[in-house]
Amino acid sequence: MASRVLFAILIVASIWYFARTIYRRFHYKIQSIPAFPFDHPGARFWRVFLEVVLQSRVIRDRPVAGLLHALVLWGFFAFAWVSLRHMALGFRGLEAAEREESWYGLFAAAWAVAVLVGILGLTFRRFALRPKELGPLSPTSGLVSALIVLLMLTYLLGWRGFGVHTTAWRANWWVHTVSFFALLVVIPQSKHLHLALSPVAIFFRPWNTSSIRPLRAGDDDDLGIVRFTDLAPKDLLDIHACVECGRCTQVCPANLTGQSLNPKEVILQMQRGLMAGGAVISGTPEEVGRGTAWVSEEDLYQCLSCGACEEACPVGIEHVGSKILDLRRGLVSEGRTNKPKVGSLFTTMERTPHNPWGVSQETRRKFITAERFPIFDGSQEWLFWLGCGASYDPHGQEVARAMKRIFEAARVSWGVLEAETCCGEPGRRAGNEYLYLQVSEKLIEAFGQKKVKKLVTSDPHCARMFDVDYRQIPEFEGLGIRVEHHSELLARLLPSLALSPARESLTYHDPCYLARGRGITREPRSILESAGAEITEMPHHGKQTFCCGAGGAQLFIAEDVRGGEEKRVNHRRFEEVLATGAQTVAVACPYCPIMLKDAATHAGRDDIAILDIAEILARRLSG
Amino acid sequence: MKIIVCLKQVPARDSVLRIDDAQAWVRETDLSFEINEPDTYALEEGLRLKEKHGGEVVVVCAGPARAASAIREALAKGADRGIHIEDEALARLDSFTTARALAAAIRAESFDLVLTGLQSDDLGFSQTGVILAELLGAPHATIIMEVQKMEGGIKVKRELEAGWFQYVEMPLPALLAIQSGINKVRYATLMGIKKAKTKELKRVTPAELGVDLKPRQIIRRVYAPQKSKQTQFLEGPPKEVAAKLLEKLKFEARVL
Ligand code: SF4
Ligand code: SF4
Repeated sequence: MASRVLFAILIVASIWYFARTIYRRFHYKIQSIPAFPFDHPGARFWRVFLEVVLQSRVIRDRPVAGLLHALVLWGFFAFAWVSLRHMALGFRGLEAAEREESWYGLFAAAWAVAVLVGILGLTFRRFALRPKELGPLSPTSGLVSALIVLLMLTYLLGWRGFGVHTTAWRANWWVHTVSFFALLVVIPQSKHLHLALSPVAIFFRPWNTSSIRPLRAGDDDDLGIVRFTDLAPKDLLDIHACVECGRCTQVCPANLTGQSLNPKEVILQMQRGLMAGGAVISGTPEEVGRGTAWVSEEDLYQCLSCGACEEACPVGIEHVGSKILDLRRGLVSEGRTNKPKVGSLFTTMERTPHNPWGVSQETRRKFITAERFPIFDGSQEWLFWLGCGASYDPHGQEVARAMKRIFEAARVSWGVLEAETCCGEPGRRAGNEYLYLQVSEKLIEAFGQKKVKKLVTSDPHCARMFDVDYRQIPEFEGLGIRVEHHSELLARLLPSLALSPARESLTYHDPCYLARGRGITREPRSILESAGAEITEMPHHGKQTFCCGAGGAQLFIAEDVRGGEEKRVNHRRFEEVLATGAQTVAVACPYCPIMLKDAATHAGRDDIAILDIAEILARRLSG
Repeated sequence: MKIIVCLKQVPARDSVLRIDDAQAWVRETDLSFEINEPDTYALEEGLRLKEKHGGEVVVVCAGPARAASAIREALAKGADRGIHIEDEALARLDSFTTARALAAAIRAESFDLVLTGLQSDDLGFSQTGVILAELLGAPHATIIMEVQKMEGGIKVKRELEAGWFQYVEMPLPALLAIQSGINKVRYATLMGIKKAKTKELKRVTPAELGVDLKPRQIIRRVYAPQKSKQTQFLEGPPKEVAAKLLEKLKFEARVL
């Protein structure tokens, strides 16, 4: 009887404590909207199955540690039934216990051994090998490991070690019980809460990286994220789900090149600020030093919005679109950012001709006239959106010429707008929502007037803007425009093109906004292969690609002087290009070649050809 | 300090200009307009002075109805209120008459400083500011690089030719024509736009101000310059070419 009362007290106390901790973490006043996204629920559940149950991401990036972790998790699944029966026995009283004879006992014992292997391996890694991405030693991690070891050992001992109903058996039973409840108390107070939060965060993670939410319609106070109270529920979930594994920082190009941005610390600082009852999230480094802000503006403006962190995070945290970029938006909306280059980008884009370089429209006008580009009037099938890259940059123009040749060879009906402004990409990524709304309004009007139905562009940043950002604007969504990156259209056109492929060894640089931002990695490769290319992949490719250094408006706002010895992002990427031994690097974005060219010159390797997939394809057109 | 900033709205810098039917100005349809760029530096200087010394920035614009958007932009960037002298004729009026309209509106304000841009991007006369100062009976200085407040007045830095500068001390009230590029203009913010909605934008007609807009100067004709350059290639052996060149210089170009 006494044991049952004691058991009941323990269970009530630990559940109460668990609930209280959760409440403390989540009771903040936050924005109730935007709601959690619930599109494609089947695919979302499948993602949870892959990433949580099968631990695909965890294992992908760190095979050994990932597998050890998976052993622990799978062991927990196997133990669910054991624990339930353990609880039941607690209520029924220990007198009711019987020797475990079923196959399940053996099965659980086998898993207990697996969990022991896993947890001891992980503990060894954390406390003996001490990889630097894990950060300083955490006593709680040690405690959790100890409790898990205890749980497994006591299970094994209870199963076969001691005879049922002996005193040793009883003591062992209680140690198991207390460890279990202790875990219940420790988990919500530590990063181990990811156990409960990560499946939810993974379920609700957007389909592509770096997604920026629309401002709440009709809410004049929504200026982006300024204060902790501006956070949405998913942000809160993210902030508390972090396991501090450091995967995000390990792949962050800004961090890898010696800059101060550390995506893991951005999340953890927000967690600290939230728990400490902070008000404003971001400010100058001095404000962060004084404790009146938590995330430094300097760090925010180093981000390339490349999405590598989000792609790497095993628990589904969004660092970029809903945190870093939304914090930039908060700073800019209040006019609080003091970075000169950011201000210059905005004042340049504010004025005609509304492009980030401030180059006259005349340049584009001359180009499309000289090249005899057909003007889109609504009768053609495709609007070929040049974007600022193909309008003003000499290499971008070269790509547009190649596109014309391919369009003609494939008899595609197409045209370009007489005049374009910037779609607003660098503005919105740098935090200037107002600028983006201004330019988009005019463009949407023009698209409507010209009856655009299909739009193709060689710029993945523009494609992303039109296909994701603009769709948040009802007027654009109403036009029902299909948006494609040229790699998608070209890949479809391949069968209708007469090609004379020539063998060529090259490597392909996946643009972040194409591979991670749009999920396109196969099409550019099939285009290159049809042209006869043999692709040698770089270590970072596909969805694990490494930024060229231009994203997140960095092409325009990056500071010239970067921390000391470290290499710049583009230099580092170019080293990977060189290591493949290929003479040509293929790209699929107008900004990557600018950055890579700069790196090639720096490395004295101007002999490396940097060509867009469209240029490579156009060269292999027969006749 | 109460600071008046005069703004003009001009065709956007990059516009394709077409001459209107009367052949006296550019066709305004399908043009977009923005704040005259030199005036943006005057506005920025005004806002900075206000932030430093306190006071108020009032923007005054003499222009047609479309010019209201220029004032609203200035309000969004931080000006406190706006006065729009509205009349379609103001779209292409001469400096003197425009200055009279501006003076009539500004006189009603007890100002310390009037700031203008150095010139307009469309007509480029650089006259409105100095005439306005004369009409207001205030001292003025042009091509201002720097403004410092002092006891009982201001000290300004003027840009002269060939890298020379001049420092001038002057009493207030005064008018300054600000040199372009002396400051870094601020960007428009969402918060600014939202705040601007509640700021005062007063519309007045020239008639209400008692100003007659009869122009003092009329543009008779606007036309694209005729090609006047002629290039000829002289070919042949050097000796012959030299002889031909000499002949042409003597008899055709008449420079020898
Ligand atoms: S988006 Fe890229 S640059 Fe920005 S924090 Fe993530 S990994 Fe770093
Ligand atoms: S944010 Fe994600 S990847 Fe980064 S430390 Fe936290 S859990 Fe790991």
